Amino acid sequence: MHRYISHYIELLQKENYKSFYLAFLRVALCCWLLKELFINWDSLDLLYGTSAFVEANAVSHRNFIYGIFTLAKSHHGWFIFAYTFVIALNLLGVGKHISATVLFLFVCLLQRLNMSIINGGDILARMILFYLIFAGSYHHFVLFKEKEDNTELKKIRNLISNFAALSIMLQLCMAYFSAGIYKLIDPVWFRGEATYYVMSMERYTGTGWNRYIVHQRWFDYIANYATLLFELLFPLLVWKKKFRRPLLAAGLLFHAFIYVFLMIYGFEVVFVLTYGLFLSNRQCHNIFYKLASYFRFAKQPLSAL
Amino acid sequence: MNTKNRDVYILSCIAIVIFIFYWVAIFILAMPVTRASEIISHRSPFFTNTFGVSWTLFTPPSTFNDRLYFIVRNGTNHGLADTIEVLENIALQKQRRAPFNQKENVIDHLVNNNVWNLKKHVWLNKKKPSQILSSCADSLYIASAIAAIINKRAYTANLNTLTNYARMVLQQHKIDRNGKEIKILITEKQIRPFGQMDDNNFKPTEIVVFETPFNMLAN
Repeated sequence: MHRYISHYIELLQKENYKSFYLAFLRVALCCWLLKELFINWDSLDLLYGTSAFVEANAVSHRNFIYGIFTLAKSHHGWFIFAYTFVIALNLLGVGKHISATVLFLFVCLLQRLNMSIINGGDILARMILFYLIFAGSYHHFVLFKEKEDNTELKKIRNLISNFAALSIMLQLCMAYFSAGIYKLIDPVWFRGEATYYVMSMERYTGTGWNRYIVHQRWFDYIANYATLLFELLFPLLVWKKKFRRPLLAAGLLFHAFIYVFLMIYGFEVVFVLTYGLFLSNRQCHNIFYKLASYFRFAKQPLSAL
Repeated sequence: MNTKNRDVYILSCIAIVIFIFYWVAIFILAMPVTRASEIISHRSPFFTNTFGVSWTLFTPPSTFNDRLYFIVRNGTNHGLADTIEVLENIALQKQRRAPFNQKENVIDHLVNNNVWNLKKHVWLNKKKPSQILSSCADSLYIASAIAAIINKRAYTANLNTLTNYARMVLQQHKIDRNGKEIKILITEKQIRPFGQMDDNNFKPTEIVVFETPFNMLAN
């Protein structure tokens, strides 16, 4: 048992196995947060200010957090400015784990300021930001290069970073599996009728085609049970190499479908962004290098970055 | 094993133990309610609120579309009332502007969330209206449920938000707000059942799930 544990500890200490994609994820998530801010720019007062029609339903008035809420709401312009600044720092890898921690706290507060607008994508983004605090995501895409640690510290850092990467992957699997279990015990999903109802909801009617599509019973059954199967099997089989690519491709299709037909946008992007963690560092390098050379903005292999 | 290596080994073991405990707790909280998840929620509400997410994702799916009506009449002589339905219109606007519909999306979330919360407050202790066989909801129950929560902060925040939104909508419709009374009505309009999707004679039922009396609409 002791030898078994030691073997795995050594393996986890040896290398930061996802260093490239963790760095990419940090940058991509920061870009996503900036994009969310940008597209909501006209509605920021409505979402976080005090002058809008929304009346805040904050926690107890005596609560310390209530004080922070009130302060952030009454000075939401400054709050957003500081938030943008922290995103920029994290994007460039300045301040490393400290800026990552501050960014996570900012996101928590921002989401608490207006819970109405939060969807699953925002929650997953918040969780990823939490795990990224512990991740070694500063080997690539940083303004200032990281100094080499001494061997002992590096070992611990590698182990924690590998756990952080694993946590992000587990979080995605947990989201699918939990949704799959809830669906499995729901009679409407079990009967194969759920996608019909979901696509018939006016709030989620993304295209004029929805009405036509849901009236095809064969489509409803296939979409319903394919969703169930995907959500239940992805978390179990994605760890097996031979199932990984088909499952990731199915996931891309699944999220693209929701994106177009159900008009749920940010949610899909965050889910798909985590997929890269299921690839090895080498595979990520190769894909990025191919894309980079296609667009001609990188002339050397990324391992040299 | 030298001292440095031993320290690294101990720290690694601690990290593994924390990792395992964290993920067991997260797994329990993510699954449908069990005794264990209730204990964790009770013992550590902060942990549950921050990390314990239940990913239900359209479960159970709605079998109805919500409708939110603002009914406005003159405060003195009552006369004819103006009725404006907003949720269907928001959904249409959202669909029309997709995928560049973020403004509509924000309004959709803000209004629907308040509608959903009001329904939740009122129907919390009773079967949901969609599960009631009768075609009309118990209006007496709605009135008594509202009376029981009328002073609760969460309820008044939701109701005031919808009243504030009604002021905006009236302004958009160029309806004068002076001396007007408003009633807020929420209904659930049935989606054609799966088994009857081809039935051309199907008529959807619409049941009232929330209703306020007429109140003066202050500016």
